[in-house]
Amino acid sequence: MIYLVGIGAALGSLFRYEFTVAIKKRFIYNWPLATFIINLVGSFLLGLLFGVDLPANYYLFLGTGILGGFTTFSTLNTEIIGLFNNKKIRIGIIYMFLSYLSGFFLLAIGYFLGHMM
Amino acid sequence: MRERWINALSVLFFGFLGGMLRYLFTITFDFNGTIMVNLIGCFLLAFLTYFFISFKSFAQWLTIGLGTGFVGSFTTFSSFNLDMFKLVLLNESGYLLFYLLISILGGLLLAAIGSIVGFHLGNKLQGEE
Repeated sequence: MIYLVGIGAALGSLFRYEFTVAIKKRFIYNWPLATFIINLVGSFLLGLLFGVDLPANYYLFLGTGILGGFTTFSTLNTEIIGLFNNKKIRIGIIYMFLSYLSGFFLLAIGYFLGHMM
Repeated sequence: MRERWINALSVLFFGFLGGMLRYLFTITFDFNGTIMVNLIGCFLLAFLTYFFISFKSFAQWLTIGLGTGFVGSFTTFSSFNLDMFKLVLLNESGYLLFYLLISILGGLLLAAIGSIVGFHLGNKLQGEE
């Protein structure tokens, strides 16, 4: 059981790493776009998985493993502190509120969509 | 090219460990487990990130493996939102408020402390080299 989570989390982390590297090559904004997209997409998908009510092992691998490893709470907060340290207070505050509000909102939409399937 | 593969393998390996450790916390402490991993992780990632900025003696595969792989996988934004959604469904508004405030404010505060401690410790050790 625990290895299902570990293997999923390894893959999720690799997707996050590769996506972040790819995005950072193409965009030079102050806005941490890669983490923002990762966290919102991951929250939507986790809501969807929770809504469709998967068998326990599938949920552990896909939800707890892949999506848990793909999304990240620590990077979000470290990026907010980084923006504050660079005197980009306003962007930091907007990034913070927008991440938390839309993350929860998208998870709820995912759940209701999954529930209808 | 070779470095790219080593970094990817490092993220896989450390992400594997971080995810399993997160799972152990959540099966032991339930919702409080998610709070714990996210708070510990915020301190650790900020600490590591700023430590490696001022102390430059570690290989890139190791800094990426520990930060992006291990701590990134240990913490989770999607489960944080799912826990809160479950609390809404359960009508647990008191615990929901606690969960929300301690995660958001605690995460920010611990990342701030981690960045300061990491940066100064890195500077100190770099100066002694």
